[in-house]
Amino acid sequence: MRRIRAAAAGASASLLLLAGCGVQASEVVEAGGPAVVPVAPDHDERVLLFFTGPDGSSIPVARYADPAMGPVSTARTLDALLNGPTEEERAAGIRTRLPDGNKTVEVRPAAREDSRPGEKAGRPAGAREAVRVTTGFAVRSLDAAAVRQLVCTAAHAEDPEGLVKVVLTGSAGSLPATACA
Amino acid sequence: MVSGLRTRLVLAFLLVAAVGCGTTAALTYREARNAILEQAQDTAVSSFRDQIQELHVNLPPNNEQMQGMVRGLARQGKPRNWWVYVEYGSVRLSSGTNPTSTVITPALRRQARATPHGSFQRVVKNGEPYLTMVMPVVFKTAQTGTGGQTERPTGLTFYAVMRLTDEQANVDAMVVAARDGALPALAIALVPALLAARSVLRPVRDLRQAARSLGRGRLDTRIPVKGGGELSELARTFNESTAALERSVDELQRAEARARRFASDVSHELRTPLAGMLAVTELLDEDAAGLDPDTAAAVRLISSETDKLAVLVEDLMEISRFDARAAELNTDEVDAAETIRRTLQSRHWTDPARIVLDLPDGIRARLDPRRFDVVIANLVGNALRHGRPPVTVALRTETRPPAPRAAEGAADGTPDTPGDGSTHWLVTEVADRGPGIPADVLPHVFDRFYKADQARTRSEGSGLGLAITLENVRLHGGTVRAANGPDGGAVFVVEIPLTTSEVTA
Repeated sequence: MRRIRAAAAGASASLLLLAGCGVQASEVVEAGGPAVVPVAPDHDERVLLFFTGPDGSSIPVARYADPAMGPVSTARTLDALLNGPTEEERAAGIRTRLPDGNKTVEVRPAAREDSRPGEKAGRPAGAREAVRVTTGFAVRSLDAAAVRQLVCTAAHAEDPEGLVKVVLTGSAGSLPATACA
Repeated sequence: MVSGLRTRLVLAFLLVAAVGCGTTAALTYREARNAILEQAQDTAVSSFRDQIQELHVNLPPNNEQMQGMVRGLARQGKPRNWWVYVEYGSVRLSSGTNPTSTVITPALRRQARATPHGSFQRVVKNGEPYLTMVMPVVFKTAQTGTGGQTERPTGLTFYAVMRLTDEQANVDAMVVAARDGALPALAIALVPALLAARSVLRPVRDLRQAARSLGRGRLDTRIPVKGGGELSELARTFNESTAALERSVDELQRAEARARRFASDVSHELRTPLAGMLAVTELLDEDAAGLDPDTAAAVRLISSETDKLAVLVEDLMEISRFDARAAELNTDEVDAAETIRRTLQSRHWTDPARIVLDLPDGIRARLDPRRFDVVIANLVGNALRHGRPPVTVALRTETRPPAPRAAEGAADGTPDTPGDGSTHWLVTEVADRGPGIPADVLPHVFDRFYKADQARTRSEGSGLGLAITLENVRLHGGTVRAANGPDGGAVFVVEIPLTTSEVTA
């Protein structure tokens, strides 16, 4: 008799389950990749500067550069980065984490030992494997967002794919070779 | 409590059907609901992504551009209208009136920031289900068309919130359909349930009838065994048990018959030599006066013991005739008082100081005179031997309603039942003035060879007198019972149904 009662309870429970549930809330579910959009200005007419959003995320800014003037050098691109966002960009919450002050920057190919061998695969032919960026301020005390700003801007200035490794050297020591991620 | 095998079987069957229906319905429902929701979600997320990918984005986009984007996206909601929100830096814009949604959960925002993937989450707010989606926007850093692979986030994140009311309605409709489908299914399941219960219960009913028939003494009862299920196993076991029972009962009966025949044979075999001995002891008795006193005493002792032995053998033969059911009732319509008087006279029990008679004349009864004579003689002889005179012999008739007969130490009979349901009885009472019968002996007075006084191993009787009395009364369809009278003596009451219609007195 107890068995029958238990089974009856089970049956009514399943009926309740059936009757009681409609559309339930769910967890966050990943669904495919992000949306890929074309951005303006186009690749040939822009320099990409990587700034930081109010929440610490990376926000790239494409500044117009006249293609007739020839390619913009990495050093000039970094100068633009160090000069910070424009008023309009600031209005949208775009900030820089880099120190305001010594804006001297020097870019040269990095020594061979700066990049690890065996990471050449997938790199466009002719691209440099690594660059060394020397700044007038200390880089070791920079936070991760600031380092990413320098690394990503330099890497994308060197290479459209941004796969070049960057060695940051400041007034007091340098950081290991880093790729933009 | 649910009683009755049938009810329980039907209930169990319905329960199984209900669980089956319920489970199937629940699983089907779940699958269908998931399919409906997945369809809606996938359509919404992929169309949201496709529509965003058609946008051209300035880096950084200005507010008017973003406002245009969310308005444009909001118009193209698929499969249904949605609200679109955009976040860029510190800018929050939406297609609605509020720049930020209250439905989108912090978990979804975190997910959008953590991984460059589109994500969705169903949210139920105020009882209404919503689908919330997030779509981070990335761009390819290399020139378009060069096959560049690197994607960087633009910092733009689009959110969309869509009501799932249609899906909810569909899902609810399915629940109703499942519920409405399950009830008729249960009703239909009742038919096979009843049929199954019947087929299960048929062998049970057979078994019950067989057991009842067995209880009535029909030991040859068997159940037909069909198939090889548990119930036929039971039937087989039942058959084996009844067969074994029949065998043991047969054996017992045979053994008993053998024992009776042996007793009967022994008495028969003793009879002839005893007859010879009796003739000799009679002669010796006559000559005893001429012998010396010791020898004369021995001869008389032998003579009296031989007489007792002869009585014992006669009684044994009588009782073995009863046991063999060879005793026959030769009834005759007689005057009961006259019969009793004749019995007493033939045994010379006529001394009014010892025997007091209360015998109304004119009571006619259908009796076997010889057996009735044995009954009366045994009872009166018993009273004279064990009790003290005077012994009272009383005769009367009684008319009783057909009530249950109660008797202490009695053997039951089957009185004839006249039309009105009442019964007429011939009641004979033999009472003495002795010490009565001890209470522990009372139930056993009619047992064979039962000695009322254990110390007295030899009594004058054969030890079979009352047993023979009982058998004789039983043969008449009556009862005999022993009790103690109000003034101390033993009272034996014989009740024999009167089958004659001429009841007087």
